[in-house]
Amino acid sequence: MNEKDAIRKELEELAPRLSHIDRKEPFQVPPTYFRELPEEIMEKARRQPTTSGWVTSVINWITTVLTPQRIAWQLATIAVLIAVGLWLFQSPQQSAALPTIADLSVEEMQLYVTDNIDEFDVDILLEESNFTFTDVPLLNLDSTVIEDKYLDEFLDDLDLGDLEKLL
Amino acid sequence: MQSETTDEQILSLLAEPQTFERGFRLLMQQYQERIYWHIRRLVIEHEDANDVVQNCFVKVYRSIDRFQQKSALYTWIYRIATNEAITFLNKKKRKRTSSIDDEESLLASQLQADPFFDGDEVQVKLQAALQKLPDKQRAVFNLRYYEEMTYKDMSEVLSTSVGALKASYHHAVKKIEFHLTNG
Repeated sequence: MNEKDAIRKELEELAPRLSHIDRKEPFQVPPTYFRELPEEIMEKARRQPTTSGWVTSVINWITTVLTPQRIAWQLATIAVLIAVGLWLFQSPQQSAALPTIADLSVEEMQLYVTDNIDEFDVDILLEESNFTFTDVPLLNLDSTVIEDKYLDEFLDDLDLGDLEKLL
Repeated sequence: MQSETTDEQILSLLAEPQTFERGFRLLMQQYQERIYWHIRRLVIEHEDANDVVQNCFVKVYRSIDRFQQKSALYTWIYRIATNEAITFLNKKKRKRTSSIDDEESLLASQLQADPFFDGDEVQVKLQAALQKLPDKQRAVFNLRYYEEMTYKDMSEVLSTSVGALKASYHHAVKKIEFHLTNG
C-alpha cells in the first residue's frame, strides 16, 4: 500500500462522512495569476534591501562558531585562562614586592595615621588604644557660658517657619 | 513528493551568483502553486494569500544562502510558508473585534459571495468546520488531507513530533466529522 492509499484508508476509518467528500479545490484564482506571480515576487525581492555581504558573513561565522562542541571548547579555554590569571595575580612574587606592616617604624605609622585621620573610624582607634574618658582632664568651664553658646547655635539653625509653628 | 534531482538542480543553480536568478525562477515555477494553495487554505481570501505567498518567496530569496540542507528544500519552503501564514492570521486576529460565532457566519456568506470560491454547500460546511480548528491544527489537517504529506515531512515542516502530529490530525478529523454530521 502506498502512502496516498494509507492516508485515505486512515481517513475512512476515522471519518467515513469526510472521506466521501470530493477533495477538489473549492478556491479559484484570477486566470493569469500564476503567470504574473514570479515577476511580482522578483520585483519585490530586488526592491527590498537584502542583507549585505558582510552581514551574511557575520551570521555565517556566528552560526559556525556557536555549535555546541565549539561552545564547550570555548568555555573550557576561558575557564583555563581565568584560572591562570588568578594564579599569576596571587603568586608569592607579587606579595613579596609589597612592604609589610612589620617593616614600618612606629614614627612612620603615626605620621600616616595623623595625615589620614579622616579615613579612620575614631571609635575603632579609641578601642584599639584602650582609651577611657577618665584620661581626659575635665575642663573648667562656666556652665552658663556653655548653655548660652548652645542656645545661640540652636537659634541660628532654627528656621523662621518652624519657629512660627512652635508658637 | 518533490523529485530529489530537481531540488538538487535548483540548489546548484542558486549556489552560483551568475545562475542565482535562473535557479530562483525555477524554484518559483516548481513550488509557487503548491505553496499558494497551502497558504490560501489557511488564510482563505485570495488577496491575503497573495500577500503572504509573496512575503514567503521574498523570504526564501533572501535566506536561501542560509539553507543548510538538513531538511529537504520543499519542507523548508513549506515551513516558511506555514509560519508566514500563521503569523498573518495572528496579526489579523488581534485586529478583529467580532466573536467566533460571528466569524463563522461571516465566513459562510463571504465564501458564497466570493467569485474565487467554487464550492457547493458541503464545501462551505467543510470550510466552516475547518475554521473552528486552531490555526496550527488546521495546518496539520490541510497538509495531511489536501497535500497527502507523510507525518515525517509534516514533522519537518511544523517542528513537531510524529506522535503529536498523528494525535492532532486524528483529533481534527473527529471534530470535522462531528461538525459535518451534527452541524
